[in-house]
Amino acid sequence: MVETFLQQVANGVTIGVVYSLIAIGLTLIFGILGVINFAQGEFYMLGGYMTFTLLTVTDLNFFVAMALSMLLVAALGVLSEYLTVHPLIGRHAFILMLSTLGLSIFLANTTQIVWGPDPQRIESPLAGKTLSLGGVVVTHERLFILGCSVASIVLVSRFIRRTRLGTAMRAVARDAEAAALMGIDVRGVYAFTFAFGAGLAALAGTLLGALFGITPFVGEWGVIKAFSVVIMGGMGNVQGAIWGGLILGIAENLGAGYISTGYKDAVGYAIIILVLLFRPQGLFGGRSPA
Amino acid sequence: MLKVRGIRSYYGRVEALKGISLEVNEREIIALIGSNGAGKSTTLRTISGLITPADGAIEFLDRRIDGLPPKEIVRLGISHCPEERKIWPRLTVEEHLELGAFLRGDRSGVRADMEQMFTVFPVLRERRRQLGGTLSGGEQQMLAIGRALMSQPKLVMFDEPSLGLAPLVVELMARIIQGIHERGATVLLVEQNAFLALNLAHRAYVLETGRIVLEGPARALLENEHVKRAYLGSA
Repeated sequence: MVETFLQQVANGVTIGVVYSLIAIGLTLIFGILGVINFAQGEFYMLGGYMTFTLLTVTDLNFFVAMALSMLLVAALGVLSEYLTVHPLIGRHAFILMLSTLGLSIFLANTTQIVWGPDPQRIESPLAGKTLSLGGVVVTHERLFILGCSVASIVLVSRFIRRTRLGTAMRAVARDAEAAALMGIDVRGVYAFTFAFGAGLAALAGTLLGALFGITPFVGEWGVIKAFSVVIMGGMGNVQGAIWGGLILGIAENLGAGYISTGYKDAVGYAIIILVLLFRPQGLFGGRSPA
Repeated sequence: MLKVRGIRSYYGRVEALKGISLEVNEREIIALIGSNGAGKSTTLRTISGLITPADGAIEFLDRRIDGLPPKEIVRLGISHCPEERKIWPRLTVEEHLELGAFLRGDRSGVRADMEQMFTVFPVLRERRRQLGGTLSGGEQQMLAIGRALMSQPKLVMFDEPSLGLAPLVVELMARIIQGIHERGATVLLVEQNAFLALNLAHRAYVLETGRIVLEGPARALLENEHVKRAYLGSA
């Protein structure tokens, strides 16, 4: 009994930290640019495809490919911001939302043309090995996902709280004009935020792609998970996104384990609905990066 | 030092500045007075690059600066202490001062200047790790001033530094601005409190609906009948 529970929690935590990774980017982009980035899921998906391609066409090792994929998708994030967000800054939020939705559809369909519709699997060097802790079985792959995600989350939190650029990001989020008067290049911060969010989503894409495989349209799934997390944690709140990811991951796995695997995704939607009904500002309050 | 020639700026569709010309010489305190909506803040926002003028020219130290981004204007030595203070509620006092020095590369110089700010504003030292949102109005204004000085500006522009402050604190602000001037900075001061501004300034401009209607030595304007009636509340 206890073992089943712990097993579900362990599975939930490893998935949850990856949700956090995708959601941090979404919440940062919202907090700083005021834009809901529908293409966040595609950055996740492309992270997986980049790693997959690098492993297929080069003989780089998995970890190098993963890092390179993050950089490539971060660069794509900058380009995406420049083409689809930058020209529309200052316009109505719906216009920006439609623009990123268009970007999302474009990226997913382009991926389908380039790589085909079939699922691809990222070969991880850790596949197959397991670790058993008092009845709870965890694969090495999941441990790697956990370690890698937690390390990234800690680094990101520290970056936002401690560095000059991180402080500038928080300042722009709250009052971009005051930030501009300090000599902070607000547009540069916007582009950087997109790169940052895209890179984190790409890391998530590699990590989960190695576990579940990837398809061109998996981004939809990713962005919905990230939305659930961001709504739960409070729009724009990075700490909220971190804890929100964990809560969603655990809740889904408990739902799958104790109700039915068919209800796994329903748990996420139920959480969105409940939070919006009873605590629309999110469990951790809104709009305050770190 | 600063020459503004015939600038026109729009605020959305409204022409907020209908051809403003003014000049600030080195080591002067210049006041810009006028009622709400006269275009005082828009003038400062245009100088600091937040708004690009539709027409006219701005020169600073013999260089055209209209059309430059705010970053370049800060780098050239103009600092703008904005209306309503614009303190970031969730950033600490220290973080505000660090961002004030965002473009400076000399970390030790920045440290020294921060210490200097804490000497001038001891209350900020006490609250250095406190969030901006927890400060009182007067403390926030001191922080806004300190932050504006961290870029080592040659010209400091203050927008309504007395706004919403208790009379005693207003007096303190006046002394602070005087002190900044004495240490070598040039000051462009926008104020609704014309009495305060004219007592601080050497020269002043009076703005009405986007145009300069009067200019001259501050003392002369204090005696001017129109200024007395419209801005000083005495007949």
